[in-house]
Amino acid sequence: MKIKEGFTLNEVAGNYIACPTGKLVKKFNGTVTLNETGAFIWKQLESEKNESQLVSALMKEYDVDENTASRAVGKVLETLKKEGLVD
Amino acid sequence: MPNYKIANVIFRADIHNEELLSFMKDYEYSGEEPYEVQFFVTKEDCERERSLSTGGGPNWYFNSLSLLRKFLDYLLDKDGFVLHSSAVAVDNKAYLFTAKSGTGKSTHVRLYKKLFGDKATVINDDKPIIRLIDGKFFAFGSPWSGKDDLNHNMCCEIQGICKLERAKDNSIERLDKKEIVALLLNQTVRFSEKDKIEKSLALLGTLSEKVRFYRLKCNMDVSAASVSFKAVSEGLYYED
Repeated sequence: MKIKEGFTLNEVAGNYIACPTGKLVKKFNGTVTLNETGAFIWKQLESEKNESQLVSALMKEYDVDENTASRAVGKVLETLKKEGLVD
Repeated sequence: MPNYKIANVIFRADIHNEELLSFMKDYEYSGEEPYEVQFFVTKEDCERERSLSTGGGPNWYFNSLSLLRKFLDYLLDKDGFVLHSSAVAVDNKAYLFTAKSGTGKSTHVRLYKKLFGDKATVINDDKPIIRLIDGKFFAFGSPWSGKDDLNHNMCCEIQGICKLERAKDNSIERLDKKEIVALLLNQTVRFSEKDKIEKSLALLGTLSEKVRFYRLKCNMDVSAASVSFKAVSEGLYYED
């Protein structure tokens, strides 16, 4: 899985905002607001990753157990897929 | 080709149309300083604006929109941008009101006129230009001010920005960071180039940190203006 090409992720006053660029602007008329966990997973998905790699990365970064990480990843992926942001 | 000065930027614009010249008249500049940039508006630019708009209108109107777009593109590097809001000045300080179209920002600003008379001046009723200069944010007038054409060629430091919501009774409270960012994202021009997006988001981030933001719930009584003015002018809820 990978985040769709053409988005740029930026931090604005403690919020993480992903904006479409170029041709994608017409298709995605809006921005995506992410919390810290969502932004971390988004950044991971800037290169090809599978779900278990995301879980491992989250576990390592936030020092949480597999269950917690799995649930967090699942939730974020559900939203990203629903909005068509993941390829 | 006259020179113009808007948001402290002196520029030259290739305008020959009578209506457009008249539209820009209050911002003509005849001082000694040289212009720093020149803008050209082509037929293609005009057609592009027309295709992007939902309503119709004469060519000169779309030329004015094209000029605004080019101006904002240039202004970004000068730490400037536009905020869809209504801005009024009292005692040389700017009070900005944002809301979805039709909620009542212009109405609220008219209450300031009712309350303060000549001591309140409308800076721009639709799209005041905001610039970060020496660590402070200023609101500038411009000719681009919506259908009622309310604007003055003036500049004031921003005292505060209110997100306006209709309510039966008047009340005001601080706006939290997340809502501030959402509000700013929705009420500013969005760029499609990555570097411009980064630059404009950085500016919005600075604005959210340096300026006071409030949620104003209000009705259409003149007391609503008293409530917003008192809170914002005193910097209520913000410990300095």
